[in-house]
Amino acid sequence: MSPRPSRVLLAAGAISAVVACAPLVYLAVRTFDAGLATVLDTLWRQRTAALTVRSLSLAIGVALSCLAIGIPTAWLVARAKLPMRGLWLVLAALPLALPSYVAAFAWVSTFAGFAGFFAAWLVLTSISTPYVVLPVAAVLRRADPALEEVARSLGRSRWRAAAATTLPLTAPAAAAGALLVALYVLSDFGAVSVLRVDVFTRAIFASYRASFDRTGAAVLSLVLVALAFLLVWLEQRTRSRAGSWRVGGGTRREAPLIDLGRWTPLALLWLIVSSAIALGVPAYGLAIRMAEGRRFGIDVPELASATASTVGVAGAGALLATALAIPVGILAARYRTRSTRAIETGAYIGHSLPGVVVGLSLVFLTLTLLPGMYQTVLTLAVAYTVLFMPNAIGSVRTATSQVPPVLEQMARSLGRSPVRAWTDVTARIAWPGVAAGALLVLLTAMKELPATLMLRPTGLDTLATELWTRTEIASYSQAAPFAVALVLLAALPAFLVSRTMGGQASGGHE
Amino acid sequence: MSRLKVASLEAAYDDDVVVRDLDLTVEDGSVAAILGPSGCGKTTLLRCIAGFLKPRAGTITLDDRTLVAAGVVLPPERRGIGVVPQEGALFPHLDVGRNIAFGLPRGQESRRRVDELLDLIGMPGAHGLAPSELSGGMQQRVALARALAPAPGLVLLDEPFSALDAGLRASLRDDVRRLLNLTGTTAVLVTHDQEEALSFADQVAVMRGGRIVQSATPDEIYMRPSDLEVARFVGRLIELPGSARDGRATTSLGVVDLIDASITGDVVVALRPEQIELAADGGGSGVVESMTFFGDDHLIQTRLPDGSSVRSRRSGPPVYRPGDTVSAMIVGPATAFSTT
Repeated sequence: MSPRPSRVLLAAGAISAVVACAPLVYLAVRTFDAGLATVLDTLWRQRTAALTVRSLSLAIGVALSCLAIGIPTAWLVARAKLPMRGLWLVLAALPLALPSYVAAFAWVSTFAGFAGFFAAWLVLTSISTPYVVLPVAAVLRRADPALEEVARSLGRSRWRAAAATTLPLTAPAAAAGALLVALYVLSDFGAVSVLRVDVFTRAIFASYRASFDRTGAAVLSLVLVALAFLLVWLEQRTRSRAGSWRVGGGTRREAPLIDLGRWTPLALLWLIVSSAIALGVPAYGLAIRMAEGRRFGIDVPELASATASTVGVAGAGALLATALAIPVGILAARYRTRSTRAIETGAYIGHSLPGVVVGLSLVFLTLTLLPGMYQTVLTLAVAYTVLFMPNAIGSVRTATSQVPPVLEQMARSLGRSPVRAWTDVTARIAWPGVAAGALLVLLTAMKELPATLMLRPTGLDTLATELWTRTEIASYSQAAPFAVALVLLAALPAFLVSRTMGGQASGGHE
Repeated sequence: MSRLKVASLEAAYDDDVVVRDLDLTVEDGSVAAILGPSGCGKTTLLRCIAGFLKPRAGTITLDDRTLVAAGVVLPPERRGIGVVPQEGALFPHLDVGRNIAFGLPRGQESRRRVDELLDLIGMPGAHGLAPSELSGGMQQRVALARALAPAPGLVLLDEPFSALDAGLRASLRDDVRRLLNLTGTTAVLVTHDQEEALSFADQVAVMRGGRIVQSATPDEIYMRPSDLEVARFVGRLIELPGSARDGRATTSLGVVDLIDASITGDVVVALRPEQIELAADGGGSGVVESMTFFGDDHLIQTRLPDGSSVRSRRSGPPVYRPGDTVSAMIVGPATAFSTT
């Protein structure tokens, strides 16, 4: 029963979708410019096959180990009666705050020679497990205890009742979380580069930087994007099926906490060990290198200038992303037509795009079409917008849909023009949510590494690129202050996410 | 203080036509109720008048101003029509005073107007309260004050009392009616509650399937409904089969005068419960089956010798009890609809 959106709003939304899709479209066009033969030739190289096998093995391996570790952890933090319950939930969510390259750097600098496939598996599993823990724990906390009670009244034991009722409820959330982990691993550039694992992202970056093999890098990018799209499609299918599991009606009771009795120490040991691997080792590594660096002295001016430029470029990205997200978010909240859905899908494309692909596409696009824009803050802001606009759209959409449309109609009937009605009523009520979304984009963009490496203006260094440069030349103690600064900045959104965690882990790129 | 005229209106959501070929006139200063079941298009009609929905065809005028015509659709902000929606829809980020002042220009004059309206709705000094601090009834009063503040020619009320409990609903209804009279504002109320429509309005328009099937004064709608469905919708109805001739109908309860003398042949005589009168009768023809007591009146269900039952309404303390034998007769004249 929703009326049609105004043409101005549709046009603004369409512009946002075009900005989001332009880099990928241009990349595809450029790739096939090289001729189908060249593309197929690159595609059939043995190296491409090896990269595909290695990338998928890493993604699937990490996803499976996250499931194996994440589901028991989720059950413990959600349903078990444990001492210091709140602490364990925070510890389980905290690895989200670690950018993958910071964690990898901490491990490398602690254990000499730590590198390769299994090293990357370990590090990526340790920081990605929250993507499974948080949604599964949320489902477990919301699960109606009446289901288990009914199963027990029908003669099942406590464990069999749980296995028959609550466990199946968590399956869609766990599967969606695991697919998100796989997507995150496939897109990850930082950890695999620091730990020297040849997967798509690292190969793309290497062939872009070393030989400037444009076609090679572009073809690999397209294969990677295809895999990412497949994962996102699977994830959304799983999630939409998860929606139909919910049965409404009545107010639900809080599920009672289960006393583990003599198993309590074992449960605590499990949580302590997994937290020690995910958080303890990186914290120890960073602390050691910090202490070491203190002896040589921290380059405070450099740290300050890197922090300032990080905030500056990420701020530009957050402003642009939010500005472009506003029309899309309003359309998504207020109107459900075919064209608004198309706009939303287009604007969300960055959710499936690895940062290295967006970086590469924008390098091509600016060098060819807009040479004046190559390696400018604006182009970098566009990259952040493409990657993180989905977060901003989500915030605008949620904030807008909480304002009933009838309020805007009342303002119109009392003499306000459509724009004034929006600014005087909807915007006034929704702005805190929109601002929180912009802040989230800002904090996420601060940690971005691959696109920043490729697109930053010459001479501009962010915390992430400073850290990167120093890990490349193995000057670990000099890198530590930048890593610590990044962790402190990144902890903020993880804190926000764990506090407002409604059930879905929102994707945070590296 | 304006005359509303809607002609040949047609409105649709996508391809779903909800209002078709609709005509309605509301006289200056009077209150009209649009009465209909949910889904009949009454809220759509209201949205077209307010300007929230663009009709497909037809015209809407307010006095000599054209709101909607071929090629002309005035936006809601230029119509000067106040709206009171369900649940009030007060702006949650503004206090009561600012809500009422929303449609007024800034200044001293407006502040006086807000005070005046707060007095009118019986909430003097409530400027600083937040909407969330108000009860449902108070929210509706403020919503009405907000709609009346710019002195609109017309106020639209979209089931504004439906969310309130019964006692509050009646008293708020009286207050609103008094305010509308006091300000001389033309008003259109949309409701599915027949009692509300009949008691509130000067004119009731019954809507069905996107059309207005009858528009008349409340007592005419009640006593002389245009068809059987309208008759059933606007109140309790007793339907007695009979045959009509020369302005009278013969039924199982005897002969009754008809309002429309031209009708002949097989008919359904449509009666209101208060048109059935009972008399104690030892050898009577009917037996009281049940009695439902409402306080100010009560309904008695009586089984007739032919097996059918009729309900009658009586006021005062109940006299008849289940099992009593009674005789029933009709107090005419009555409405009848031909069944041939």
